[in-house]
Amino acid sequence: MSHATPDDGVGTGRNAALWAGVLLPPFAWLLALQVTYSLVTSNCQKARPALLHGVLVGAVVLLGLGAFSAWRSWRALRGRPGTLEDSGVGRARFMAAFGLLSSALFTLLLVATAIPTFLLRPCD
Amino acid sequence: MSAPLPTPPEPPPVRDDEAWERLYLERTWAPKKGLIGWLSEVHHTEIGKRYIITAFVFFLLGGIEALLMRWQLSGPEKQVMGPDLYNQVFTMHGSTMMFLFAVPMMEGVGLYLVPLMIGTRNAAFPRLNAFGYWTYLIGGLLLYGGFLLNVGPDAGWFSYVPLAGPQYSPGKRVDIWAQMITFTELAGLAGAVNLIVTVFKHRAPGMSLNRMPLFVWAMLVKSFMVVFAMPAVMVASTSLAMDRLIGTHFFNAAEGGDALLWQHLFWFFGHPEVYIIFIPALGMLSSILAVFTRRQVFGYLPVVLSMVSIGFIGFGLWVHHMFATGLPQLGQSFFTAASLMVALPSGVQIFCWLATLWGGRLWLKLPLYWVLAFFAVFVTGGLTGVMLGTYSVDQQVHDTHFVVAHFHYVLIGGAVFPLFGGLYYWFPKITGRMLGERLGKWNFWTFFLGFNLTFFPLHFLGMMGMPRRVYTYGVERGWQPLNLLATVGAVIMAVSITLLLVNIFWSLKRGEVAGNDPWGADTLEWGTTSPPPSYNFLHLPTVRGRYARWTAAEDQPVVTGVRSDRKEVLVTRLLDAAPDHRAELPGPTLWPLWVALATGVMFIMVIFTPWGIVVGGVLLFITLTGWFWPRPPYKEELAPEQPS
Ligand code: HEM
Repeated sequence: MSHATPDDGVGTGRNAALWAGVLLPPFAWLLALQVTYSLVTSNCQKARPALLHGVLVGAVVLLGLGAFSAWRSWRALRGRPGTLEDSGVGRARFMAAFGLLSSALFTLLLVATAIPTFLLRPCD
Repeated sequence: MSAPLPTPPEPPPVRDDEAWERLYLERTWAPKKGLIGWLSEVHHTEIGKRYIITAFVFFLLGGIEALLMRWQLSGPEKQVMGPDLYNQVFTMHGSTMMFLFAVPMMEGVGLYLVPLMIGTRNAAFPRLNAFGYWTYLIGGLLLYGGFLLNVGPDAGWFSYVPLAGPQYSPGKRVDIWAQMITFTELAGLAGAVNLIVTVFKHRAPGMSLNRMPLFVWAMLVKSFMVVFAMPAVMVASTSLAMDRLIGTHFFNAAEGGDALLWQHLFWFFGHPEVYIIFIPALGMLSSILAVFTRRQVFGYLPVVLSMVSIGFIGFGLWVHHMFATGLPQLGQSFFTAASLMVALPSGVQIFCWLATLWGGRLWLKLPLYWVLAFFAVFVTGGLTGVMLGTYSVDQQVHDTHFVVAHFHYVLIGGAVFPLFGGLYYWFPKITGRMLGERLGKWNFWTFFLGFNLTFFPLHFLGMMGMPRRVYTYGVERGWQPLNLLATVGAVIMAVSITLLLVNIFWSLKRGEVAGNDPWGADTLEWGTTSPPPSYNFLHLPTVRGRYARWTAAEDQPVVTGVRSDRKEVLVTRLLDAAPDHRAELPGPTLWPLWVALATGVMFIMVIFTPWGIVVGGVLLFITLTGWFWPRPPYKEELAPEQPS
């Protein structure tokens, strides 16, 4: 948002953080899935477990970043008036809450994606 | 400067005089008359209606094909059709239902309703809308034209290579299929872009993201999915056409291509496709539930979250359609994991609805019937889906009628039931009349009965080993009784659809007059007349809560300052829908039709010769130039020093 108006409630920097909270968790998971899957199917010899785990750790960091921005935004909004149903601050709070919940959900997905890498070898 | 000053503009309309206002709006937004007018229509309600009606006609055609197949399968070694025709018919049925009915139907409903629900006068790109519709229509006609000329595609609705490649499918059948895909996906993209921009930039002031109706959220998620999924299949269908026509080897393993590439590309689109059909249905369900339980849907945030996350997870499931292809186990298990996890957001969604029903005062009208039936049917389909998502089960029943049963439970349960609920719910808005209640009940109960009778036995037939896509079976198999049952069910469904048609035509003439808001509903479309006028709202509304009409103040302000003597709309900001600026939308024109026809010439001609690209390219250049040719601005808008 290049020219945030007062209606946007919480200013430009904050909106970027809110978007990060909303979008990073799902992207982190999709990225992990794509990369690990491509590694395994294109050349399983090269896809050593350490490499796969490295990718997963990268995704965790990305997801963590999203979760962290969502949490920071949520904290920053504490004490400001506005329910999850209001515009402005309320909308910002909504996005922060969205980010937190979606971080939780995609953490589960990442875990589910990670489990097989511990149980199976890439060329199985 | 010596240029004469332009004549002063007409005085702006008197704001607080409703009659004047209406007069201006009517004059500004009135469609053109006659055949030319009909062909140049660009208003979203009209385009939406055309999508809905066309898609419904394709549903009927697909249904007739289904009946033919059920007739053929009703007993062993029947001769209703031979294997070649059966191949064409199941391919036509699957392709029609997926590409010409389900997706365009959802698109049409979205294009009709979304601009009304968010309180604006038209979609953001009216001409693109018209272009999308014409392209879709040409694609559908191409498919059926081919079928009538005995060049109907016969390689299944996902046309796997090498079967669909030049070696095993000579002739033009598969090319027709591939080009139909290119047409419909192009149309889908046009509609999706339109919906996204409309939702992001044209919402009524006050309708911040966290106040958008759930239906609008659903359409937004669906449109984003279209934008990311459709290009994959367009690339696939184009590559296939090139393999077949000019001898490229994208999918030809013998020359270094990769047959599995087709499956990857197709299912990277194909699985999201299922959600592209299903998510709008979720939106319809939420709309209906809120109104007929007379309360807000339980858990707005989790419902939105689950729709959005299904939108993402939907792109991480595609390999589960390829479990039988011998990919490395580890790779497959990623997708087994994701397939099981997608049950999470879907479950959240279902529980939020159950919580809404729980303790709500149910107003048991027809739309709610369909929603309640949806629960039963869809949960069954979901359960068999979880079974199939498991690698070991899938290995066992892959390509049997178990799969046919599963996907009809999810597709019909997940899309057709909500759609019919939506039809009963929004018919009064679209036509101004209610659908008949008694016939409606007959329609519902026969459909519910017929559906289960048709598809439940198929689970058992599948486990007994009856393969899909095989035109008949031997007497000794013992599959006859269940097959006959399934066929009886299909006939009952056909009766049910006939009742629906009778009800529609009867109600159009004699139905009870609906008034603006027969249901006491919450969303903005119910705040205007039924059917809505060509300008949608006399006064553009504002919003102060999630359930716009239920939370409106006694003296809820309306938007002023948008000109009625021009096709002006208010553009608002993405997050909080704060007013930003006014924009003028283009009016009726024939150009989108010409561009669609030029596209048609190109896509169809390339089936026969690569020169199609050249000819089509020239035609497209000409027609697009016409479309984009700058029109002179209004005289009075030129600054005085500019010569006019
Ligand atoms: C209205 C009642 C319907 C009936 C009686 C019906 C019946 C059938 C039958 C008999 C088959 C072929 C089975 C085989 O031999 O492989 C089939 C396939 C299929 N149906 Fe339906 N169907 C109906 C509605 C629908 C709807 C509404 C959709 C989608 C929205 C749909 C999508 C499909 C697809 C994708 C296939 C697979 C085609 C292929 O194998 O390529 N059907 N259906």
